[in-house]
Amino acid sequence: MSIIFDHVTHKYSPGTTMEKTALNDVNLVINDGEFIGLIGHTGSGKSTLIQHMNGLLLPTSGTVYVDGEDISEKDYSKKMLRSKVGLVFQYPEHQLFEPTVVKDVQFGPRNLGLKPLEIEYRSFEALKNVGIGDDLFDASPFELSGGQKRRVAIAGVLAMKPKVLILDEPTAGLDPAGRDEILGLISDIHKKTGITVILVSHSMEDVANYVDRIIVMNAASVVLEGPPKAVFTYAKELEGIGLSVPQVTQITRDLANKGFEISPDCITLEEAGEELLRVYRQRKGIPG
Amino acid sequence: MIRTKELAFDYIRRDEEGNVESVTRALDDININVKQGDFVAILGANGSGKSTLAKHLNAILMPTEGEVWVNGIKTTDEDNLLEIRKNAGMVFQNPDNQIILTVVEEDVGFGPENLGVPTKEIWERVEKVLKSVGMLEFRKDSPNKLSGGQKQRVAIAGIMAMKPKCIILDEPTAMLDPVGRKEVIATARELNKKEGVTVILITHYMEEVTGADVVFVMDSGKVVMTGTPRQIFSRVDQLKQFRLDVPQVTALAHDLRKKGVPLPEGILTPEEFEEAFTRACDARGGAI
Repeated sequence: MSIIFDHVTHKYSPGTTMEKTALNDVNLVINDGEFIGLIGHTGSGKSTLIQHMNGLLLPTSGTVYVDGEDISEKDYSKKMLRSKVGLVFQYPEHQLFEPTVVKDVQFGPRNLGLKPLEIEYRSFEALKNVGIGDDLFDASPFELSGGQKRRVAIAGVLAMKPKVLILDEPTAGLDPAGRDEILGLISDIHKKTGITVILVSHSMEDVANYVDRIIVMNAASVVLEGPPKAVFTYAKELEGIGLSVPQVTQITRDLANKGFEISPDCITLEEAGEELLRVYRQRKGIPG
Repeated sequence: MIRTKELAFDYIRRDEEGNVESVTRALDDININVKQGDFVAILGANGSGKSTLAKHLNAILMPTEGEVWVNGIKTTDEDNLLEIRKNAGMVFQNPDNQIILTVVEEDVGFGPENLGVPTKEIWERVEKVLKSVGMLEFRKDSPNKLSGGQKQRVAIAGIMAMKPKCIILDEPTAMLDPVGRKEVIATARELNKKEGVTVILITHYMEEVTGADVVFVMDSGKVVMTGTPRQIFSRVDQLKQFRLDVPQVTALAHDLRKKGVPLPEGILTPEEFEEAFTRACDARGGAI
């Protein structure tokens, strides 16, 4: 299922003195099954962009096509769209409210009007996919740890069986191990189910480790897009808009500039480690 | 400035009749000593007790066992509660929960007004603190128009206007983008250096603590490591056990060291790494 943005502009409070352009002529194609990292500083338009993908917002001008259909059409079903495009907000655990974990996860599918057995099946599957064991199914969501709550909230969206999963900073407020767990989980879900994943993140290191393609936003426009390696060659441009490249990318680039024969575009810790080890051994005449 | 002795704290859960259901020891035998003018960082996984400790440092919580002194006053001394809160101000994670008035300068003046500071002096303090956090030009603005980083700086200014000897920042950057994060950390450093304010920074971002004088690492309610950032980040494997991490550059150096490249432990910045790596490559005598 693809999502296409065709000359999409979105203005908040159009025609008033408060008018603000949050998206300015955005053209974008998101293909089926991609793992995308969406980056940009606060106010760059990321949230406005993702809210167009499930019809929470509609373009002021231009068109958003989901699965080939214009979502602004009068008889287009927003309900169906939202079951296809699942959005996990920041701090999603604040939205847990049912008395038990399993009931909370079933809330979405129940609203889709599914049969009880199907609802049950989907909730169990979703909880299993996020690594919540059946010993916790009947626990109150409020008794869980921060990381567990967040996983339950993600399961609630997965239980709708979306074709596209959008996560707005899913690791905010978690400790480093918790961050790795959530990102690992999302990556597993992507691999296992093949759904499209759009990860909004402030961490260049995380984006470098997991995504196929990065979309960079600044001042209401998409300013860069491509595979992480390609995007991170624009270190100066990224810094100019308040972003950065991973530390290891900075190091390999600096060393290449200083005359080391090293590939300047390492973006992950493993890659940079191997490359630096190779260079060191070469210099010392140690067989690799 | 701040001292704790054998501090312990229990969260007690009670059922409807008030009978004790469970007791969770959140802090256990904490002995710390923070000197006036220190920049102290506290690291620890979610649930390790960091925030519970912070809440003891300005008498929001009282010890179950042991003692806490702030500027020579015991926190259990109820007559001096105001004095303690004046000396130790707290900034929380979400800036939106801390800003209450509709104009920046009025919000900053709220604290000193409650302390009964004369009006003329309030305005002098407001001007001074807004200048020191770099927000003077926004003094007449509405806080809800500011970015997260700017709001957090206003919250810090509001605390500074009460002339505390110590500010406690409890994950002040968790909800901010990289630019906002840098702004807030730079502001805290500046206040520490120029005004001599003691800073206690609680965070999950390892890069933010590299400039601290002392780092405490907490796990399961205990302080398990104490040292300079270099000493702490030299113990990569131990930190991982506590669900923490090290800056990416520190991890890179650690991995290469394990594979025989002679790099020192505890490298904290890309510049240090590049220098050490160049030295390792240029050193005579081949492999070790």
